[in-house]
Amino acid sequence: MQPETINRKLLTQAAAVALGLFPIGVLFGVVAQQNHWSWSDVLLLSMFGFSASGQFFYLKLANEQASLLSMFFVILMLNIRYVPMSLAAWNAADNGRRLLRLVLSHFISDESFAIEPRYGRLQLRATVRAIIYASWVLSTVCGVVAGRLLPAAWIGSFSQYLLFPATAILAILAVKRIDGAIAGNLQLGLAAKLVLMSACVAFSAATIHFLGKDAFWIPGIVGVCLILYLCHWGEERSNENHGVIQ
Amino acid sequence: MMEGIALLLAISLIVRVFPSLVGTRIDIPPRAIEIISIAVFINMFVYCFFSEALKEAVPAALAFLVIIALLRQNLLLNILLSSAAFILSAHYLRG
Repeated sequence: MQPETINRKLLTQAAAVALGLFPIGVLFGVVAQQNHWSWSDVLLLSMFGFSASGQFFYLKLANEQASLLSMFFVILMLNIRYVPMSLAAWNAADNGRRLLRLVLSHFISDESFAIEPRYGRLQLRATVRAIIYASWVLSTVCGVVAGRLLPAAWIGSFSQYLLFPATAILAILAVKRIDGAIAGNLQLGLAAKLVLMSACVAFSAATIHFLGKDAFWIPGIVGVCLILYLCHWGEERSNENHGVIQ
Repeated sequence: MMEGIALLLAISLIVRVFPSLVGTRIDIPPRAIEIISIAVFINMFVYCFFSEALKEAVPAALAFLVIIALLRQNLLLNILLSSAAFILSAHYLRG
């Protein structure tokens, strides 16, 4: 595939994700408006605190008058998944532009991580992040305006359904990337790859069951990494890079 | 309000900017990056499924079947149809 075609495909994907995320941002703005936040408050929170789940949780916990320390730990646990993402989102070619890299790391989201190519140009990855970031910030501000115009009862009846598109986006992107990884691995047979992926899913499901949705991220990710490492996942490419012929 | 902004910004610095700073100091092998990425996606998928299935088991199962069936299709179409499957089935099951 031509690089231009790949770039266009990536940007179309980013635009589709931004569009799918829009109703969730609007919902956040509406909820914030109901809690007496102004559009400028929401704008600043979305710009500097950019994290959909973190922002929803902050509103919820602030409403429950939780202490700052407990809010910090709950949201930290929720967002701890960004640590491995942030480590894996860069490559050696980006090292020349450290400051830009540090600034751009604030714009990493689940969706951008799932779309952007690991070894693509920094400019392309920055564009993907910017599209999703801008859409999120704009949609939350639109939500504040919508919250002033729409009747509260109408909002209540629809809000329970508006969050599913966010889940759908993440699930689709995650499965697409797993599918791509399975197809790209030539070392194992299809049955072995499916068994290995099922084992990883089972491990992750067990971790979420025993530790809960907020605390499972790091143990889940570390455990799946260990399973894949012990099963020699990706070793053939690593050997190719080091000139080892099997 | 300002405390919320400061709190979320501080968390972003800890979980996104600081690891990125560490990443500039060490050379992470491509195999490790590939393994970490797949591990994140597997956990992300399980998280998505569990968060919906615990609330609405049947609609979530139906919507995830639509997601798998339309995986190779247009992303926006998949988002729309899977969301429609979830919302309509949840609506009708509640009566």
